[in-house]
Amino acid sequence: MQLFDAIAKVMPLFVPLEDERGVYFAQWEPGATPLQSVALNASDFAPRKTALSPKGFFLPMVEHLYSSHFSQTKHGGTWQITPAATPNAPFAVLGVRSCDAAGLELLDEVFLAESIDIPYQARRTAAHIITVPCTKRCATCFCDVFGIDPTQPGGDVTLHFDNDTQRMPDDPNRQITDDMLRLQAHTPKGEALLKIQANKLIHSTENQILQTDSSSSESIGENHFNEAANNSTKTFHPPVNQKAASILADFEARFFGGDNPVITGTDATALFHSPAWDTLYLTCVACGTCAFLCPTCQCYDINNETAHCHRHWDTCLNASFTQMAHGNPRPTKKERFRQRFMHKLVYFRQRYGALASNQYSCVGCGRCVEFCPAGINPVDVARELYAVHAATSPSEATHV
Amino acid sequence: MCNPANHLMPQPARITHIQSDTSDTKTFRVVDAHGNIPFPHRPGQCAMLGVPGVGEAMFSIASSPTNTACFEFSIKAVGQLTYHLHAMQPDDALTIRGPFGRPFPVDTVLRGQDLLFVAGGIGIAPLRSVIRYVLDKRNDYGRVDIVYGARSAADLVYLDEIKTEWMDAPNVHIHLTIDRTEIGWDGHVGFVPAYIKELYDIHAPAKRTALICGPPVMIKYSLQALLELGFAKHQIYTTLEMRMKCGIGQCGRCNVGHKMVCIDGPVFRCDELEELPDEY
Repeated sequence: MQLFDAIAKVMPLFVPLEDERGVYFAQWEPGATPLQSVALNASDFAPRKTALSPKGFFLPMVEHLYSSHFSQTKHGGTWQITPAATPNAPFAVLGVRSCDAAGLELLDEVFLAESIDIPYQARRTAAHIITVPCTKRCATCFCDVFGIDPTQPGGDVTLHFDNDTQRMPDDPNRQITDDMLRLQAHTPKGEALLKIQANKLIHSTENQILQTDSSSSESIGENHFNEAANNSTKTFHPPVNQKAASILADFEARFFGGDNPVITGTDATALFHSPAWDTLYLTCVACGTCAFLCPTCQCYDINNETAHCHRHWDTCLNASFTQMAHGNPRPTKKERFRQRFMHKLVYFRQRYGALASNQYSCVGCGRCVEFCPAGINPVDVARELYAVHAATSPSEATHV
Repeated sequence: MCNPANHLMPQPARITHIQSDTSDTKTFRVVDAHGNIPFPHRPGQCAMLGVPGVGEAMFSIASSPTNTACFEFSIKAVGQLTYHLHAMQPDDALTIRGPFGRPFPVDTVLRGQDLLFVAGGIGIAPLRSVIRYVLDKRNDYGRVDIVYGARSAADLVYLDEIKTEWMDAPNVHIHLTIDRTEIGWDGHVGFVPAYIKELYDIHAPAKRTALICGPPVMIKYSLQALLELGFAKHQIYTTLEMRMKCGIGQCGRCNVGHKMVCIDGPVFRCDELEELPDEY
């Protein structure tokens, strides 16, 4: 693929690649592997869902923060702190799905708003997110429930597939070639990427178009692009997960809708004390797989127990998460399970609702649903909470 | 100076003095690598003290900003890091970062008010920052009452300082209490919440504020006692303790509901806390 090779010449390019473990983002080796077998489905052009979200590019699973060295001084000694280098080398991640792109925007609220996380900011600045629209639904997906359009992903650039079925018969074995791809920039960084790449990316096919959102020209190219996009939408728009959507709509209307655009403190406290938690948590084995896979789980631990201070992913499902020497405010699995879902469905929105484009800390990627050994689903949790509190006022329901 | 851009990055610090307050609590004086206070702070704010290779934890800065020579931390030996700190000596090296959290509103709401401090055990540490601040700016505040209780006389932190400095300050009234009678104690015996009710004048002026810190059960019953005495919820402040790692609202540990204790607290007004689940 000339497109991949061209980007990879300028900066490391990561694409979904399949190995014996599954599909993971891995660095693209120029000219190494045919596109359709590794990164993107051939029969219906869609990004492969990676086992891990792209979160780790920005908040690595394990990250060195600083090292401490003890040195003697006239006062006895001192710690010399050597910070880890700030990661600012440009890189590109291609094949990011709508849900994961939205997940990054939610993480931005945590790491770039109230207080800036320096390494996260550096990596976000260095990264070029190239999204790919989804054309089919996985069994566990429910992104549209949270208002995310799987066919219109964000990021810096979107890579569209030209769905011209006359020119390109629907053959699952067809080769995907560069002239079937369209690039659309959403951000100045994306535009810059396209400009830098323009000569390398494009060979003289009349259908090749570089498209930017901000472009006001009515070139043939743009019309063609819009046509292709519309066509793509008509043909491939995956059906909304109606059942999940109606559950979330009920939850939304009951707790965040009506006269109160934000949940009231009374409602939030009532949900916290909901009798629904007494049974919801029972099947959870507190393995933390959901948080590990989650594109929006932000929690981390900082480990200073060696001279090399690291931070690494952590989860509120761990018993040690809030353990203090004198006790634990979340002593049992019930409180820890409740914390996870209250954060996803209530706290995040209470805290960042006015800022975030998606108002829950969930983007419906479905990874937790797919891999949870107990089959726990955030939508089910919302449904149970709604079921308990729908008919009565929350304060009444707590006394049931 | 602490790197202002990266709040996770500590700076070197040094212990200059260690005072044994009780059998399990010591007060450490801490300065930065140049012998100065590590950074400016306000009463009620916290700092992360660390010993590389051992751990890092959040402590209240027990000294007042009016003390420009050093920070003081009163630390009870309860866990891995605190036991390690208790084994340290003056001139030993630490790391520090901060300041973290929202302070008590000493220069706004509390100014000109009668102040009632209610403390239990090591809970006196965060309040001491305010008490010292108020003693140093005595004319800016009204009558000061300090109700302080501990398990036994030997568990009263700062007892020498209380006797030699706090008790002599003008219009400052100290009320000490211990849980059980003991030989050599001629002061009050009983729990703090009951003692507040015995002591406090119900007809006290409207311009008054209470500041509570101590074990959760003491806070809970003291709060009830104060409400019975006619305090409004917005006239009562407390300071919370949760496990913390980052100090800047990111690591996800210290939330009470949607509030993060490290940046929205640790100081909360009672009516603010009422809006939150009581998971602390």
